[in-house]
Amino acid sequence: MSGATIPYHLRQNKAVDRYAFMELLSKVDRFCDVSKYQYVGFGGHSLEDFKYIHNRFGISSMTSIERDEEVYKRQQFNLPHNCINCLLQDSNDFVRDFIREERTIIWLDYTKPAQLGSQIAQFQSIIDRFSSLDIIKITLNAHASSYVEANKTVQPNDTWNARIKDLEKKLGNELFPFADISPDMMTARGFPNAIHLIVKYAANLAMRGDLDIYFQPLTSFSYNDGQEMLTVTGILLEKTQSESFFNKTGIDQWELGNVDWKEPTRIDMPDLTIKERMHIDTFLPNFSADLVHEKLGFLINQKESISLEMLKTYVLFYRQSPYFSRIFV
Amino acid sequence: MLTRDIDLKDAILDLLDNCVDGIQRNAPESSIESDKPYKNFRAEISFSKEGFIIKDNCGGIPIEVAQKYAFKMGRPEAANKNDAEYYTIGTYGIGMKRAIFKMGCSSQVSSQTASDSFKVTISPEWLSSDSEWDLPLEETDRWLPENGTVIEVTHLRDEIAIAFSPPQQSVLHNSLVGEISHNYSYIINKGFTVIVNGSEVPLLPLNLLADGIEQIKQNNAAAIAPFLYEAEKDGVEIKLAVGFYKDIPDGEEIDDEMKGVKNSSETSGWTVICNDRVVLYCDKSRLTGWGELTVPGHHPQFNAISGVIHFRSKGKDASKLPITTTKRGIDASSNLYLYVKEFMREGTKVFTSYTYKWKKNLEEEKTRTKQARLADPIQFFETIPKERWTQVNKRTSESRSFYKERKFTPTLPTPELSAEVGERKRKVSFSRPEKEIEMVAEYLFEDSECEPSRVGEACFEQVLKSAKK
Repeated sequence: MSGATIPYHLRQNKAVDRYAFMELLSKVDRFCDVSKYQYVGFGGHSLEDFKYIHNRFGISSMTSIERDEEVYKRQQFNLPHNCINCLLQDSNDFVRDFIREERTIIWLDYTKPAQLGSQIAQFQSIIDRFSSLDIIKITLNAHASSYVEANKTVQPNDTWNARIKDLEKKLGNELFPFADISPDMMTARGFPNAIHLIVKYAANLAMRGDLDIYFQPLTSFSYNDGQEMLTVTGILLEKTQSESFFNKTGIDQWELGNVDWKEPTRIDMPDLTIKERMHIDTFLPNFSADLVHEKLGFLINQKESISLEMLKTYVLFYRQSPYFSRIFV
Repeated sequence: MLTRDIDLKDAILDLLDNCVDGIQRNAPESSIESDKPYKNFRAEISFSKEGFIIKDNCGGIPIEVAQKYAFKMGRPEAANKNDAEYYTIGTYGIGMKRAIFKMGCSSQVSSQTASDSFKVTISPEWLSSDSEWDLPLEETDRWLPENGTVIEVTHLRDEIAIAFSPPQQSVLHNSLVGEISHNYSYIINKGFTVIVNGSEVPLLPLNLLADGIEQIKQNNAAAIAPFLYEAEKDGVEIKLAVGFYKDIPDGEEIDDEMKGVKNSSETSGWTVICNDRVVLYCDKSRLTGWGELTVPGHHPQFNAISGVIHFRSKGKDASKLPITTTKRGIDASSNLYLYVKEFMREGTKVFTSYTYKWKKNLEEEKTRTKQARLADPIQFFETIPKERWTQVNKRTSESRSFYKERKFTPTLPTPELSAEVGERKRKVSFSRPEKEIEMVAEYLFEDSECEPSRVGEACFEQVLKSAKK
């Protein structure tokens, strides 16, 4: 049910999200040296993101958290570099004992909707202990029907209200943003934004005792490789740092940036053949998606409007989009 | 995390209380008995780093109230002398001034009633002066489209300006809307509209589970319904309802809460409402009878129990209500409250006992109660037929001073105990690693996140089927 069992190369949208994360870090690198950070993540059996981050930035203080003993053993086997400290631990316990001693990038990569309340609480307790320039990425399940299934025998409104009640129950009165979330967001399409607003509220709530430092969102994406997911990355900034941070990194001008909690950008990559991609790539970056669509001469979805929408997504993410192909070894 | 903004929220709620006072002075008598007596009354709150505004159409502050109390400042001896009177005229004077000074050092209050229209300006100079006590109250032309009050606060204090500016602005916005929707649910349900920074506060009604009225009407038939009590004394009407507002929690929910993983008890407990104002919200302490006499102390097992008690004074005299002078709390020593508390305990006990009785048969309880729907408990005072109510025994002189007193005790379902001992139910319970439960859940239900209790039950059913072959 969770994405954890789907092989990486079949999770194309998640792969794009990861490339976008690398690009974001390289922008932050213009402001402060990312190689000096420690990286903490839930690496899974292949420790994929650890490989990328080590190779790209040379970070060598790395910690992986894994609660499943078999996966943990598999990590030991797959260990891509010997600078990764693998812990067999539940994220709850890790967060409880976390002491921030050096600049940190942490990726809380959750999948289970049932534990939303505790996931948000972990996120808050991490940023509560963070210092300026620490970076956090949180991925949460945003698949509306995994929270409360759509029920065809009742009015849609009843399903939406049931989803609101469910979120309220999972989060409790303290964490539920009563003003921001309304029943009309409880559709499959609106749900990622509702989760986004929950993250926003939680982040600001956790920072409310600090007057000089705040949680600055940097990117927000939603994607679906079987389950709808939301992923938000942000950094703690001193208020006085904010201007020079954006001047140097340019993240506020970046087409993938989201620095003011706008609706998350959707990653929905079309399934293109290599030949199609190479052809489209020759028109980029100077042509608009509309023009490329026209030049293509055929639709990539039966409906023209959807075909164009998909191509637009491709144009937005083509640089972050990997080629997957079969190799023989 | 700081608690500074909690005080700020209280200050804003004090101002909203003034609007509620206005409604109660001005709602037409004829509409009080109607379903939505406060329809068309509204209050709008907005705040930003520039300032704070609350405006309402709730009838305005009568000019004599303003002259005598609302803007009488400072002199402690004068304030003390007037304490008794503050009590009867609402929270003006305490709440409004406290709220204004909490937020900023410059303010303008304009109000318009059917007969008058005035304005009071509080300036930073006035505030910092030691010699100036009088606040000039200036009569003005009528300029508001409807009778009501506008309070504007500017020159915000530094910490308030931070709370009113992004990113903290949205935190306050959300938590304020949450707080208002809980604490004012009763009056919002009656038609009052509250808008905070452009968004309307949603209605979160305090409903309780009940089977259909036909089921409840039947003599001797078990039905899920709230416990009800009503009475009158000295011009105060009392209505009380307690019951379940959600399914009773299973072992896992109770465990989670005991471990501090999750808090699901927030909306459980007793809510006390005086003249449509919530003075105590979801209390789980001795103040509302929990852990007193034979009632157990609150525990996660009772998370589904919620009760509400209304005190309403006839006419406009609030002095008989069991509330403290600040109107923010219950006067626990009032004879009226102490007497009624007996029925709060009696009602609570009905439902705590129920959770004990079913503790070992939760699955069966769920099936038995799945017909029950959430409903406004107040409606049952009308719909439950006379013969199902019981009279209350008058034992003391105190109890004889109550009249129109009656109560309804529901006949809640009890677990079936079959005559045959072989049919007696026993509980099977065991713990397994989470991963294994998920594996079995995936196998049986194709959903690894199915509740563990259902997984266990299904396993047993499967094996039982084979065993019977």
